[in-house]
Amino acid sequence: MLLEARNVSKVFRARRASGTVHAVKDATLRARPGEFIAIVGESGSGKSTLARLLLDLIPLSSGTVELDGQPITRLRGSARRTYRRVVQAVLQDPAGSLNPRKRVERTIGEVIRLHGIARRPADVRAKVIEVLELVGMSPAQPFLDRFPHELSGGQRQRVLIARAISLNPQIIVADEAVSALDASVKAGVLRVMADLKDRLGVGYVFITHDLPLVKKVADYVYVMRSGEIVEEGPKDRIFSAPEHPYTQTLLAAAPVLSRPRHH
Amino acid sequence: MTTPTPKPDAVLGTDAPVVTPTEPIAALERKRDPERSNWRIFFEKPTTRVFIPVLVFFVLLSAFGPLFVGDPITAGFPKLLPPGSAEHVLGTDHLGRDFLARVINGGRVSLLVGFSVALLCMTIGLVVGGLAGYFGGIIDTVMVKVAEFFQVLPGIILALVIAALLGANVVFIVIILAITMWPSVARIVRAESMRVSQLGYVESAKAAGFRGLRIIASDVIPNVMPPVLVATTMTVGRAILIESGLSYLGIGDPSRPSWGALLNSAQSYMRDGWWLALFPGLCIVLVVLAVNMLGDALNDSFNPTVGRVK
Amino acid sequence: MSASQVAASPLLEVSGLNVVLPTGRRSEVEAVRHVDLVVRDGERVGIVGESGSGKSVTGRAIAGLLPTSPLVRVTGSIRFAGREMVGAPAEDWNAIRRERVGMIFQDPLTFLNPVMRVGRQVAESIPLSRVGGDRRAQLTAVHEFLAQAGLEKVEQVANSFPHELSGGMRQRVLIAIAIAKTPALILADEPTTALDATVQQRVLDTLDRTVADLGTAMILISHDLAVVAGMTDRVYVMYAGRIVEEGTTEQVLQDPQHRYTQALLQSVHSITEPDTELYSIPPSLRRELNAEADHAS
Repeated sequence: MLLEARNVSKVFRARRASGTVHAVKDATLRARPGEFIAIVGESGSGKSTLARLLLDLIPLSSGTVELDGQPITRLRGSARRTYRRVVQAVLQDPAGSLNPRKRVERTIGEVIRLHGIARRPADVRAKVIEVLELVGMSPAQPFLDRFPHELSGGQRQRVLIARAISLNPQIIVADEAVSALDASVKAGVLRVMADLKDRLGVGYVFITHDLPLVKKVADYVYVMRSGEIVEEGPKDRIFSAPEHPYTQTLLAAAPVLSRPRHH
Repeated sequence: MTTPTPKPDAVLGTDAPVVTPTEPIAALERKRDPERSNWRIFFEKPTTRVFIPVLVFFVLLSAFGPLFVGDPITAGFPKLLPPGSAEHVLGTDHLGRDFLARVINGGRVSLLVGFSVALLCMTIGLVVGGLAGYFGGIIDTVMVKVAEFFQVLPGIILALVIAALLGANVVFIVIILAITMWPSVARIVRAESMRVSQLGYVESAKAAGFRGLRIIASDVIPNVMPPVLVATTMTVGRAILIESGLSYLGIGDPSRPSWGALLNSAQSYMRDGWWLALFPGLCIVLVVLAVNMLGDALNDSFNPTVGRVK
Repeated sequence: MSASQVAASPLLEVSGLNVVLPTGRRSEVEAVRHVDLVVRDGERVGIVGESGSGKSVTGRAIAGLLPTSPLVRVTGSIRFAGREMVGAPAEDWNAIRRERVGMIFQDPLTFLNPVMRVGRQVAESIPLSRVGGDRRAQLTAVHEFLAQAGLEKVEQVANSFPHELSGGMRQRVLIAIAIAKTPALILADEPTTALDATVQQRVLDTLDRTVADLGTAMILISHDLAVVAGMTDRVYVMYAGRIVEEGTTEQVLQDPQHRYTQALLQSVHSITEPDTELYSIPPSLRRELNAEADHAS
């Protein structure tokens, strides 16, 4: 399976008179199951917009996003449902990505029912419990009835991931999925993600501004700046021999624990 | 009561439940909130316990009362009688009609008008506002224009015209009031829908494959309900009051006077017939107060985030 | 008491601080338990801990910024230059915040007035005694502080509204506002967490330089060890409302004594070092740490 963005661009009309904002310019990207792709860049680089284009959450200005050769905007009926099932999203801001009025069981259960993964209430509940335990929330029972505000940041993030994997997706697009988490929780969530990749063959499109993280988990890296992909390549090459000056600047500016400071 | 320690989970251990995004708390709670459904919370509130009986009282009174009292319309001996007599508990009006009967029957009309209008406004408002807020674009523009048109309609003139053409009828009154009052509810729904539609969980729902109408019904509307509920309960009161104004202009079924109509005809007898204004007025105040307080309590109970410290 | 002992009365002394916060309709939590800490003039101190550790609540208690609901209970002692602040009236707290403590919080957008130009907000922070009513002197001072906070094109920035600036610039504005009052203490709570990784470093450098130049004391609160490591002399490690370890930053990071600190360091290293397995604190350890925090005096 291949999810591919080909020469995609997105132009927004700016709110104040002065014309347009080119959020994404002519970007090309490929994602496959089993592969961990990172899109790195600073705020305003267009990486989040690119993610949303991949997910068909906002309309393209030009170019195509194709799933196995089919443009996603032209998918209809069951083909479209399939796209929505095999490509899942875990978006930023855990505080806002869950409906505050829905309990965990319902939030996960309703997507299971939508895609027909299970239909009878007992089966749906069993599946919900299964995926919660898969992301490490075990025993899952006490979490079923909780509202989002009764969960910690790490738990909310894992509920989002659980919901995504309940559909057995092949690719998960994660936008700053771990940025807001503490070190230990971050490590735990990343371990879950890596585990899913190894065990279930899930592929990731991981959007982040956190370079040390990318160095740790990614296979392939796209570097974005001002809407353009300025460099791409296997992780090791990007980190050891970056070619584009912007990539070099990014790498140099990343904070490092061991750097001493004299004052 | 002993505190059950939050169960640790396999990967990340006992994570601290976060109270609000900006005010983190320690990993252990001294007392855990027992699991209470929202409805239980609602029914346990002191406000609810006071005002539900009030509302139920008036609803039952209006529904069944007329069966037990005399005729509110047939004139009797044209003399004002004060309340207190066995035959006329609330006295009589200037035409000798039993006032208790008039008040109870008046309640039927007022409550009918109030609740019907509010329900209609809420329904229309949710549909129009929800669609406008979620879809935006051309749908929003059209809906806004439609709402503006109806808002600008002069309700009273319209009522007069309809009354002249088709006769005054409670059903017409309800329809006219609903037509002119729904835009204010729709406006609130639209604003809240627009806000909610930007939120992460609506985006997540789209990415999960849900369709627009389903998202509006399942994610948007439930999260816009609090201000809508409050606006709807306000509408009950407003409708009752506007209806009484219409009665003053003579638009209203004279054979089925509402509390407002009773109030208006009490004006000429303020000095000698104080009870003619007191009882209908008191009823309006109590009903409107009860509905508003209950709306507030409902909002409070169903909002899972109430009670936290920012 | 000898002269040196009198002079050594610390800038900030917190003893036995306890804060109880409500968390729902009928529940509450002891967010801060029996915390003792000390900050001396010119000292830089870090408070590190995960979310829920109570570090932010401690910071707010020190600044007197906890919610004023009666359900919030603060006990213990907070002394500013010897003066007891727990239970002090609002005017005293206001005076302290106006003149002696500069605050830099995580989200500048909520801290800055969206309809007031940045320059004016900095100006309002300058104590009257410094520039009096002289508009020109005030403007010069504003530009100076903005420059000191690492901003360029200061006239343009001063004329802008907060939403017209980037995240990093907004944080620098907060720094400028904080230093404009020539405070004795700067309290920074997750000052760079909301920023891009690349911008974080630059803002931290600015903060570092500014504090060094002015010689103010600083409390830096963060969940990120890397942030605290380069910027502080001493550090307190918090878990479940308690301080579990304290010492010089170097010592605590090189040779942590408490199990939690060790586990935390291992987590952090597991994320940044390429060949180590990702490590998160296991539930068994958490259970023990929670029990310990619960039962300690």
